[in-house]
Amino acid sequence: MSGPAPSPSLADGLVLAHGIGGRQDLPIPFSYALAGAAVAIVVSFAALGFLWKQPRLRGDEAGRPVPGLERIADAPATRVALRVLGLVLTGYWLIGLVLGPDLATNPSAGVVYVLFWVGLVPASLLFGPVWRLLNPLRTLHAGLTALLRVDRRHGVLELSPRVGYWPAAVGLFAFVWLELVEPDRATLPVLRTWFGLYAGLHLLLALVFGSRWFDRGDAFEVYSAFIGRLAVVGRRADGRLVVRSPLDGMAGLAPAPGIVAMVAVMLGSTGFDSLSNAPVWFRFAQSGPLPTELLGTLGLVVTIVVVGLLLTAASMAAGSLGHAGRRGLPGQFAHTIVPIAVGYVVAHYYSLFVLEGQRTVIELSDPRVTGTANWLDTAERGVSGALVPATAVAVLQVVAVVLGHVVGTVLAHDRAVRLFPRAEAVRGQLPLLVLMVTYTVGGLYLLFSG
Amino acid sequence: MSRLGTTGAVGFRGTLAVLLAAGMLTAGCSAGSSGTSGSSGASGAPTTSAGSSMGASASSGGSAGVTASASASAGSSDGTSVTAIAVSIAGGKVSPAPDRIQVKAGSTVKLTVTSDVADEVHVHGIDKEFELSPGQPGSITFTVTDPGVYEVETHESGKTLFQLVVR
Repeated sequence: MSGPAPSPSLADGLVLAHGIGGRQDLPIPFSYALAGAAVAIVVSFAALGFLWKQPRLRGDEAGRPVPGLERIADAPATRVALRVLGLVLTGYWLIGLVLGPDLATNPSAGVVYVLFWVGLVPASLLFGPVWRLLNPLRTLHAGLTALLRVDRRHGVLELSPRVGYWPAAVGLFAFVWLELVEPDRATLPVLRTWFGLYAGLHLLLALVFGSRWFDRGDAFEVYSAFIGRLAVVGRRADGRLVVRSPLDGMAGLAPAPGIVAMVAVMLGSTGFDSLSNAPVWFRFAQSGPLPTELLGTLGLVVTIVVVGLLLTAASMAAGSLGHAGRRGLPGQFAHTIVPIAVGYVVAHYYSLFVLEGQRTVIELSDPRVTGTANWLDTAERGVSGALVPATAVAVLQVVAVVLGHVVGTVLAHDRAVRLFPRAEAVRGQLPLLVLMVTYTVGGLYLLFSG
Repeated sequence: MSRLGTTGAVGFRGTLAVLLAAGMLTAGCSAGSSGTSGSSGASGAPTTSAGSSMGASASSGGSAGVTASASASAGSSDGTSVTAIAVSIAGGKVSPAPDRIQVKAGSTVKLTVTSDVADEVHVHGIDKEFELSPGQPGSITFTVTDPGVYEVETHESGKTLFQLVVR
């Protein structure tokens, strides 16, 4: 009665491509979640009572110039080298994507969801808005406009400032939907279709609106730029490359239409990823009459909308209590969500990045899955779990979430004392404080249960 | 659920929590073992011992998940125990209802799956796969070494059968 044993070919991994992600983290111990939540709450109220009473953060006015670094960063050779690097990396990815077979050992999906998507976070935290410099679509667009002898920066139409970050928020939603809902997300036809459409659409829009389209319209550039504001290097308002506090960098993110949607997608999507992994969710999703893709889409949309509405409601309540009116307030506080989202991304994807990242790099030695190629001399390596011991990962997860919360709280405090009259500043912050504690306790709860 | 209740109690037990937090942050994270036991009650994975009989898996069909327990553990708490897990899929319903099943690191798992349609079962993270023919139980035996959560799912129907929690 014994079933068929796995054939050697299956054991070798020659199976149909399916999911990204193997071993997931254990739920964090309850004591860790409790301790993290307690620290978050205590720090929040301490911030309210003890932090500065006058605004301190100067945003894009702050920072100490580093002329040496600036010369290197602004050298045409550096720029060209980065553009070439972006093209080379993309080209290498395309070998597996276009020419490789649709097998689980094809590295293309790992490149997208692990090395690129998750890797963009540490890269941006270290170096700022890196994707802007590497983005192959920007390079292709520059090449196209040079060939067509048209102005690169200005297209045929002016992009209305009212568009703001909306296109990036929509693009980011399209990507997280692919990552979290589309059942065949790791198969080549789906990846080819999605990225083919994405590249075609954005090149077209860049030809219409000029390269400035990418600044506001490219989901990955905007994602990298938002997170990159937490880097210690950045651009001052006068264009100088400076070393500055991540708080100043983040406070320099100016409000624009769609910014609330953008940060809501950033935080909500990671939250949904956790939620959809909890037994309570998949039991529900599989027991009902609705197709799981539809439920997944609904769940993702609802999570993002709830995150966005909570931010909007808390900001407006803060504006009312702080006697600063309500208009534009959500945008004024949207930047405070970015560190919270980053903390949660680190907590959620650290192990995935380490484990699946190694696997992808190993597979990248043989992008066409010939079984013999070893281009990068990594094919013989194994995935090491040395960097992901369970207890240390649990500590890292809690610390990341709480640190994101602390940074968000300080940013909200400074913005509140800037916007609100002094007498009302403390009262005005209360709704935001409640919001952040909600996000953080919710995040810790998901790490504990999901 | 009780878990919601305990989370809600955070605010009320502030003092205790602060002490815990201070202890954890200053003295490093030596609370690993006690913390682990605190959260293990989160999953109601059945671990009733039913010997090593596992041929009873094929019949349960589409009835309510109460009848079959997903896990029948044999052996004792040492690392060499074999955990037999039987799951059946009928009419698109997974039985018993998907949940988390706790096993110890180093233990061996014998998984038997019966489906009324042809399918393929994949144990994520361990990268074990096997084919299912309609009505024929398929099974696989593997050893889990690294702590973590491993998802077991079907490829054709896209169902999550359960999550293996290795501690």
